[in-house]
Amino acid sequence: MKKIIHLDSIEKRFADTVVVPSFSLSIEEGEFLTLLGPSGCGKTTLLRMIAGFEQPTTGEIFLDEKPLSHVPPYQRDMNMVFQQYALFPHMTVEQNILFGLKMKKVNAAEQQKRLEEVLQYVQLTELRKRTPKQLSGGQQQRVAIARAIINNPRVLLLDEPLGALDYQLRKSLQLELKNLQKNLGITFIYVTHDQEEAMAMSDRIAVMNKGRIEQIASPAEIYNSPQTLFVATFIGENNIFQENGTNAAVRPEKIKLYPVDSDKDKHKKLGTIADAVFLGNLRKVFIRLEGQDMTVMAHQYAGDGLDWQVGDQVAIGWAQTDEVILPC
Amino acid sequence: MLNKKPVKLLALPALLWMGALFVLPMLMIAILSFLKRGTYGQVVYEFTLNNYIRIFDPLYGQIFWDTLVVAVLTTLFSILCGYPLAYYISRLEKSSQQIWLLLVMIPFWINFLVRSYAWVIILRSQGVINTFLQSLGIISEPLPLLYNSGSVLLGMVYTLMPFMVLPIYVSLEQMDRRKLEAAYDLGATPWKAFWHVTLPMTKTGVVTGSILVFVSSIGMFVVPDVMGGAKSALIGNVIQNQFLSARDWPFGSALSIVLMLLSMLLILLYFRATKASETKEGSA
Amino acid sequence: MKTLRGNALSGYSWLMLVFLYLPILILVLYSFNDSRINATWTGFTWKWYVSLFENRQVMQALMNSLTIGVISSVIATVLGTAAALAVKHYSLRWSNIFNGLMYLPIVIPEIMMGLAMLVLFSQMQMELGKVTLILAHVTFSMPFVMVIISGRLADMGKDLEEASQDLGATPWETLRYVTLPLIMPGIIAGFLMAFTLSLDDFIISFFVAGPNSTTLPLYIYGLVKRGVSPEVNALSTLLIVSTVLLVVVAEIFRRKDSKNNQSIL
Repeated sequence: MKKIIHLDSIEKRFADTVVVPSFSLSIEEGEFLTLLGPSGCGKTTLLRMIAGFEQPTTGEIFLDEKPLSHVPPYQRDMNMVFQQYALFPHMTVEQNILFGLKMKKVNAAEQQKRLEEVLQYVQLTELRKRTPKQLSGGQQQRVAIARAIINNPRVLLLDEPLGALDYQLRKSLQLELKNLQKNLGITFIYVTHDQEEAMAMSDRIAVMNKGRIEQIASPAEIYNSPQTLFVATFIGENNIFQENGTNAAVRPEKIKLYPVDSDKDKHKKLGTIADAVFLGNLRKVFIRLEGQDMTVMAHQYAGDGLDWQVGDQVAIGWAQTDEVILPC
Repeated sequence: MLNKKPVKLLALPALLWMGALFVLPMLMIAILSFLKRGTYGQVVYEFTLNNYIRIFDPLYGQIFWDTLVVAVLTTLFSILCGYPLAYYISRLEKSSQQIWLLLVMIPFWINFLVRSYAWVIILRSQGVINTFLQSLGIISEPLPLLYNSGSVLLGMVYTLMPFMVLPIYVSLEQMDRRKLEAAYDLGATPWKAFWHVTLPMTKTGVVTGSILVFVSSIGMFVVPDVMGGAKSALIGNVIQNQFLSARDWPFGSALSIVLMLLSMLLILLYFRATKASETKEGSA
Repeated sequence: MKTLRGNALSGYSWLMLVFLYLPILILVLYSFNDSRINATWTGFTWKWYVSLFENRQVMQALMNSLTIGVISSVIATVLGTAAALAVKHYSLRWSNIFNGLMYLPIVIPEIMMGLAMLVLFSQMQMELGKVTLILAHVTFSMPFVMVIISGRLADMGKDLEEASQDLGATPWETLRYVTLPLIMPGIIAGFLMAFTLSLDDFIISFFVAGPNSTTLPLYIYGLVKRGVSPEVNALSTLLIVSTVLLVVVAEIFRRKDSKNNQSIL
């Protein structure tokens, strides 16, 4: 695979505050990379630097090995899907989608041909004469995507594109977006704070915290082998055991519960059931550890034959291989 | 860097225009106020402080005092007229609020001169009121309703009152209603709740409105010119007179500089006060 | 008890509305009164309006007002729009300084602006007339245009302009195809506001007008100083009607497709 974007020692400061501390990052052609992190972690700033709306204070961004710092946004071969879509309210769907081609002075026949293709692709053919105001949130979202992909950009930047939609619609659009990316083969850089969304769509996830990229890896790797405490706790649920100056992270589904008097070798800790929450396919069991100010969460699936009650004494254990050691 | 956006230069014509036609003339006035007047009304380029000293002449001191008194009274009456009105509007439904606000603001856009003249029609000795009262036989001689301090005050309140309504309305709108409900909950009577909760919380609106009305009234010359008599001239009329009849431009300039400083001082005090109250609210 | 207080408040408020409108209504009413000399109603007539249109001085003043109004508001709108577009790109500190300077004329007593310009024009040895009136009117109306258009621009946010640039439009193309069409209602509102201010201005015009450039408010002032007459009522009525219409139309344009529904001022 070929590198398409390379960020070299990028740093961003506003006034005297460092928003994004210096780091480097390469993005490969055709990949779906997600920048994931809580709000205010610098992921949007990073995306806006790639798009050209912000300049890195130091460092350089390369697109196809060409430096971008002197290339204004309108000359960068990438397009962005904005959080609130930023559709032009004074233009119809069709005019919105054609805007990029018009600005690039593509000939009229070519414009029409590509318009028809894209309209079909995002299923907006019937709504082409409407204005953005007359569209639902999901439809506006499609226009925003159509408006970007009609330009055949090298890279598509998406800033929380599903953030304004309700849960059900978001779920179905996640799949659509993923398929779109597969079919078009365009590199996607996707910003979100929703880890489920990131897990479902990405080839790689860059987990960001306070401007820093904590880990960049495939969703499975991020989940199974988090490299920092932040990644371990931000992605999914985790139990953190502090032992001998290290942190050991064990996922709730890896924690096993035993009666106190069973085979003692497997036992790691003793505790009391403090609470149990029924969630349908599983039960979340909260265990208060003996002699420690800590509550452990364990997932209990139906059919393991044990029905724990609040107040029961319990022993917990896990396999050594399920334990991830993290630096403090 | 993209920082050298050419669009930033678009402000240049406006900037030059304001520099040449606003800042420059203001500076000229300031300079003029330190120069002498020649025998024939021309300006003599010699430095003097006399224009400012002359302001303390009892004649002008009296007019300055009168102006301040009228301005204070105008402000007080505007609060009395405007506060209940703003309070009433803030209690209406959103759609009616819009209509009432528009109704209050429309007269504001109508010419001061025309609105003062409207009162002349009503108050003069052959005016609407006197004609009506005489026809009923209540009075035999027309009442002297016009061309006195009272009529000037009436005209000022009439023209400037809309300035008071809007800021008070805005502060009533922004008020946290829950605090009022809490006061009722604690057993406050409506009157007490108003006095101890609503009024203090809308102080900013009252102060903003007062500044707008006060600053406008100390510079006013149309209303006293049309509705006032010989003795009800305010400082605005004196300035106008110095420029257009007496042709003593240096003295007129000094008067207007003092007028402007007075307005600026008030606006400055206002910003100080609102800032102080904001920080107080923030820490509370 | 509660309703009694409510009624008192509503009654007082209606009374205030009557206070604001009654004098204006009386003025308008008497412009249709047949009698010239006194306040007694003697019958309905249009004759004062007819006589206005036959009065050459009135027609001249009207022409002056319209010419000065149109020219000054076009200049004020162009300069004010350009400035508002530029200031949007300034850093907070510079935009505060610039706005401070631009909005100063709104808070300075009008009389002072009038005489300051009189001093300027006489120092420049410019003859007082239509040109000086236009220069003065542009100066006091431009800040209002800027306020209105800046509000509209702030309302628009930066997303749309960024989207336009992202799609390959240069800054000038963005201005032409995105920004200007979107703030057009604000530009029209600003123009109408500038025109209203110009048409309505008395104080500043009073200082910078020459003998051959009498505007309508100046002409009305001349008549008012001579006393009450039905012609002044008729002329004032025309001025009131056109001002109110202009302000309402401007307000409609300003609110068009705008999220910001705060009233002017």
